[in-house]
Amino acid sequence: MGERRGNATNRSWLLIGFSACIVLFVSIASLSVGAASIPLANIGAWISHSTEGVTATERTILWELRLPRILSAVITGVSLATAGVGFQGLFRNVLADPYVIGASSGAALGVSIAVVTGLQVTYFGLGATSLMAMAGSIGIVMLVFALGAISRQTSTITLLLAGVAISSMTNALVSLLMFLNDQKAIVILSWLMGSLAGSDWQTVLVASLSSCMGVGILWSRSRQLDAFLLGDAASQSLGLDPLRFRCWVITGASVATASAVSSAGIIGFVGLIAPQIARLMVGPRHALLLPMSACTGAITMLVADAVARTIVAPTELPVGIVTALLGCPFFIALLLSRSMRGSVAT
Amino acid sequence: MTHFSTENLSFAYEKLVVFQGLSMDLRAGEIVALIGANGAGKTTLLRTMAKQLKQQSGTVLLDSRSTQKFTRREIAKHLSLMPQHEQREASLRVYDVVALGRAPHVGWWMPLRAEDEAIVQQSLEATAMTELQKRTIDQLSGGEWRRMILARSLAQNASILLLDEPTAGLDMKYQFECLGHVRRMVKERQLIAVITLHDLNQASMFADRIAILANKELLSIGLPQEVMRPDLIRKAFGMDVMVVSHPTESIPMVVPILASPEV
Amino acid sequence: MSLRAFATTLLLPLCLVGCDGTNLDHEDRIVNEDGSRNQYDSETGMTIVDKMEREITIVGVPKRIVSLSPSTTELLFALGLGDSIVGVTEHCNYPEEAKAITKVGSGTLEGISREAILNAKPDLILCKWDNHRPLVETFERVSIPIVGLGPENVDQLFEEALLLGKVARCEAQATSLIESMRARLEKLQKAAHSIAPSQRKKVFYEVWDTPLMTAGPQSFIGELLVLGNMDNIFHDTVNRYPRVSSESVVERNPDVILAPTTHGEKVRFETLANRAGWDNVAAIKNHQVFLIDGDHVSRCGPRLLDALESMIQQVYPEALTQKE
Repeated sequence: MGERRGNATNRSWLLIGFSACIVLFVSIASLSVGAASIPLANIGAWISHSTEGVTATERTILWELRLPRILSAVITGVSLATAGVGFQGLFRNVLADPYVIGASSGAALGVSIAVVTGLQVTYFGLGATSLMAMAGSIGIVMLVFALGAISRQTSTITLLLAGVAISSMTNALVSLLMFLNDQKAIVILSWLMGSLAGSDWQTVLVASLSSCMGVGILWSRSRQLDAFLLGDAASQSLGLDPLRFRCWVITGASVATASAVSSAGIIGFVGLIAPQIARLMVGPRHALLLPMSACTGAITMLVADAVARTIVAPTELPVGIVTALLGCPFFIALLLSRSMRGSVAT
Repeated sequence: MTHFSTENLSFAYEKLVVFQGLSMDLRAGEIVALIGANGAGKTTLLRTMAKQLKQQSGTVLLDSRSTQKFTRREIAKHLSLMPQHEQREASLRVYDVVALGRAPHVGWWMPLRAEDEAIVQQSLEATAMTELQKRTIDQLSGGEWRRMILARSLAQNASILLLDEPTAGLDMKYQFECLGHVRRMVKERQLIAVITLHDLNQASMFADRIAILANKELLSIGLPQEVMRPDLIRKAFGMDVMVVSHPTESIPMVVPILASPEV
Repeated sequence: MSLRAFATTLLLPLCLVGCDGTNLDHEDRIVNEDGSRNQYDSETGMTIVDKMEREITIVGVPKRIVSLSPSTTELLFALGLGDSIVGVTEHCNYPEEAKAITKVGSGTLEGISREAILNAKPDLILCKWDNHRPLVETFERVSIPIVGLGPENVDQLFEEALLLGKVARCEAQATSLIESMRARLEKLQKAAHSIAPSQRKKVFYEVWDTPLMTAGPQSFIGELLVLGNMDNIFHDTVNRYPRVSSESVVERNPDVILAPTTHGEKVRFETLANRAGWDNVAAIKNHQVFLIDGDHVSRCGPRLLDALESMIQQVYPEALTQKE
C-alpha cells in the first residue's frame, strides 16, 4: 500500500520532469521565432559557438534581444505561478492571484511616480521603473499585511479586505496621477499592459535572483501550505504558527511577484491559471504543485510571448492579452476533459 | 507517563469572561468527557488547553511545565486537538493528511524517514483507514473523516487528545464506533483524552471521568456515578432529569422528565 | 483591470490625436541657432543633444535611418532623406513612398518590435522622446545611436528640421524647407489677421466626443488656433487635451466647431445638433461645423501648415480669397 502511494507520487514527478523538458524545448524553439527570421541552422551554429554563417546582426538579435527575453519569460512565468500557488494556499481560495493583496496596484503606483517625476536612478543595473515597481509592490503588500496584523484578528479575511481597500485607494491614486499628467499616461498604460520586450541581461539577473528567493521561501513552506489547507485549528494543532506562516508565505509570494512585475509589468491570468492547470495534473500537495506550477507558468509565458511577437509581426501584441486569450481555452478544455472523467480537483 | 493539568485557568474575550478558576488534573490512560450547555465554553477550554487561545490567567501544565514555555511545534509533539470542523474541500489524499501528523517530529521541510512512514501506516491501520488512504478527503464520509483525524493524531504521536465533539453529525453506529476507537487507543497506549460530548449517556458509557462546565466554572468533575446527579444536571442544563441505572451495565443513565406531569 | 479600462478610455482619444507632449516651458536644448552645443569632428563624429537631453555621438553620415513616428517620417521625406529610411511604423502613411518601406511595428511603444528594428540594420534610430523611452535603453545597449524627437510647436519643428539637416549633412535642404515654411506661415498669418478684431470667431475644437475633450492652449492644436487668429473658447485650461463639460461649451457659445476627420462619423452635424442644449449654440445655428484632415492636424510635421490653411479656410473663408 505504501508503494501504491509511491506510484502516484512518482507519476507526478515524472509529469513534472516531462514539463521541465517542455520548458527547455519551448525556450529553444522560441529562439527561432521573431520579427526577424533567422534560419534554424544559424541558431544551431550560434548555440554551438560556431561563428560560421551567423551574421553580426543575427548574433545581436539572439544574444541581446531574444535570449534575455526568453529567460525573462521563464522567470516571470515561474514567479507568477508560484506566487499564485502561495496566495491561493494562504487564502484557501483557488481564485486568489499574485495581485490579490495589492502587489499590482502598488507596482503601478511605483511606476506612475517614477514616470511622472521623471525619476532617473539605477541600482543593481535596474532602471527607475523596475525599481519603483518592485518597491511599490512590496511596500503596498507590507502596508496591507501591517493593517491586517494591527486589527489583531489574524483571520485571512481581514487581510483580504485590507488588500481590497488599499488596492482601490492605490488604483485611484494611479488614475489621478495619469489624469493629471495625461501626456505621460500612455507610458504608464503601456507598462500596465505588461511586456517582455525591454528585457536585458541585467534585469534577467536581478529578476532571477529575487525570483529564486521568493520561490525558495514558498517551496520550503510546501508542507506548511498543505497543513494550512486543513484550516486554522488543524494546522495549529499540527504545530504551525499561523502568524509566522502567513508572514513567510506573503514574503515569499510578494518577492516572487515583485520580481515578475519589475521585469515584465503587470501580466494577468498566468498567476491564476497556471496553478489550476498544475493542480489538475498533480493534485493539491504543494511539494508537487509548486514545481508543476512553475513549469506550467513558464510554458504559458513562453508560448504567449512567442505568439505576441510573431502573430502580427512586425507589430507586437501586449503579452498579457495573449496569455488570457490562449490560456483560457486551454484551461477550459482541460477542465472539461477532467470533469468528464468525473474527478475535478479543486 | 504524561501528566496534563490546568491550574486556576481563566479565559476571557476582552471583558467577557468565558470561564475562570478552572483546575483539572488528568492522568494517563483516562478519558474525561467534558459536558455543558451550549455556549458554556467547552470548545474555548479545549483550545486554551491546546495553546491555540491565550488564557487570561492561570497555567496549563504539560509534564509539569507551563505550555507557555513550549513552542507550538513542541506542543504538537505531545498534544493534538481535533476541531469540530476542518476545511475539507481540498483534494489532499488521506495518506497525505495523516502523514502531516509527522510534521512536528520531522520538521516542515525534511522528507519523511522510513520510521515515519511506518508510524503513518500503523496509525492508518489502527483506525481501519488503510484501505482508504488513497482516497481524497473530499470523498470521505463523516465517520471516515473523523477516523482520519484520529489517525493523524496518532501519527502525531500525541499523548494528549483533545476531541471537540467527535460524534457530531455521525449516526448512532458511527458514534459508538468512533468513541470505541478512541477508548481502545487511550487504553492501549496510555493516552489522555478530553472529549466534549452532548450525549450525557455516551459520556457516562465511554468516559472514566466526567467534567461539567457551567456558570463559567467547573461545576463538578468525577466518576460518572458521582457527577450524573439530577441537581448538577439541572444546574448545568436547566432541565429536570432522572438518573437510572443501565439495564445491563453498571453505569448511570440520564433520562429527561417531560415538563408536563400527566405523561 | 478597472484601472486599465479607465486608462484606456482616458488615453484612446490621445492616441488618436497622436501629439507628443511635454511641458512647453521645458527648456529647449535641442540645438542652438549658432550650433554651439553641437560640435562636429570628422574623427570622433558629431555630438548632438536630443530632446531627452542625452548627448549622442553620430559617426559618419547616417544612411540607414529608422523613423518611429509619422511626423518624423514626413520630415525626413521633406528633407529629401526618404531614400535613407529603412524602417517606419505602420502609421507612417505619407508620403506615398513611405508605405513601401519596411515596417517595424505599430506606433505605440508596446507595438514596436525591437527585433524588426535591429533586423533593418539601422545606423540611426529616431524615436519619440517621451513615449519611447524604454527603446532608448535597449538600443544604447547595442550601441546604435537613437535620438529622441517630438516637436510640440512650429518653432520646435524648425529646430528639429535643422538638427536632422545637420546630422544627415543636408543643412541646405533644411534651411530652404524652413524658409519656405516660414514664408507660407507668414502669409497665412497675415491673411488670418486681416480679420477685424470684431469679426474674430470663437472656436471649439472637439478632440473626442465621449468623454468630450478639447485642445488646450498648451497643445499643438491650440497653437494652430492662435496662429489662425481664432479665439479658442477653452484658452483657460491647463491640460493639453482637457475633458470639458457639454454645459461649458453651450455657455461659451462657439461660433465655429472644428474636429479632426479621424473620428469623422461622430461629428456629423446632426449628432452635434442633437446634443442637449447645443441647438442654441451659434455654430450649430449657423451650420458652422467643419472637419480638418486628421493626419495633418495630429502630426507636428511639414504638413502642419496645410492644417492651418484648411482651418483658416473653414473659419475665415473671406480672408484667403481676399488675399488671392
